[in-house]
Amino acid sequence: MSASSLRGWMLGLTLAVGSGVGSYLAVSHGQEAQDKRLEQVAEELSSLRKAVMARPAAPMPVQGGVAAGIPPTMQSGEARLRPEDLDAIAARMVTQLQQSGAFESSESSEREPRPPPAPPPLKPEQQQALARANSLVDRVLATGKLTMEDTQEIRRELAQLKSRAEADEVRRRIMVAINKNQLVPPESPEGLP
Amino acid sequence: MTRFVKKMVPVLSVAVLGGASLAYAGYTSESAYCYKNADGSGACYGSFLGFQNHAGSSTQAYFYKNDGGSKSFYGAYTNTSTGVTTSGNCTPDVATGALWSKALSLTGYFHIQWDTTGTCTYLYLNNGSQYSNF
Repeated sequence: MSASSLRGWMLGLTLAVGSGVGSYLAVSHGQEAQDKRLEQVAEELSSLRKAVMARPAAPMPVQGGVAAGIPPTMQSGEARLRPEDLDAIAARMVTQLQQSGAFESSESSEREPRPPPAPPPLKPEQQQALARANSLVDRVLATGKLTMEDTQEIRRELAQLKSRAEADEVRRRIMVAINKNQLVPPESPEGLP
Repeated sequence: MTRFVKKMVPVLSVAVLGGASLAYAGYTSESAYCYKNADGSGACYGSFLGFQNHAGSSTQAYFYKNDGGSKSFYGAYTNTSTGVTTSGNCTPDVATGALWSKALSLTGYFHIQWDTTGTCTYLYLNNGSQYSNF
């Protein structure tokens, strides 16, 4: 290795070590400054907290009273909202809403849906049709077999009852009997009344 | 050579046509089944095409509604091995009844269940391309 190249290496090494030491000093100095600043902030916060705690408490609102708008002490910044104040405001709002009936109307409409009006009584001819349909169903249940003719007869009787629940009950008797294998339905797709 | 080519033209044409139809057939699915429990509750599922093309003589399914508003479902499945037919039917509750108009125009797959009182308690509808010839 020549003398000139050795000098070059030495110079490079010196520069590297120098920059490393410089960086360390800069970082440690910055850290120190940051720690000092944090301590200052903590002290300031502590003194502010003491000052706030030393202030007299805002007067409590009179129970049952009615108020509107922002109290002057609050507006001027002398008083601050405490958790108790927020609770009092919330309680007053609930009381006023209850007194106004706002809850009552919405709750009652949700909880108690109006029952559908009762259907009018069956007409005499409908009662007779229902009786005939039920006796036809009794007969097919006794035989255990539902023919197409039975189906058409029952359907003819039930047609007079239209959408009445009584007609659905007659159909349900047949359905349950088929499901329980107590009644054999006809093979035709139009086999049920 | 020319004669050979002429002979092969119809063969090739048929092969190409066959290949084309296979390539554009798309996925299809046909199924049909009904079962019942001892207490009378049960279920049917499949597509109408599946019920129609099933080999069982009484296999069928339909949704029904009359002008008075009465709705019901009837399904039957004939086991082709035993010849035994399982049939079941139900009238919808409020939830399944809300889907009835869709079930009436369905061309796809359905799954319906009923309880011991003959009430339809579950209805699933799928109008997928694989279930119908349209």
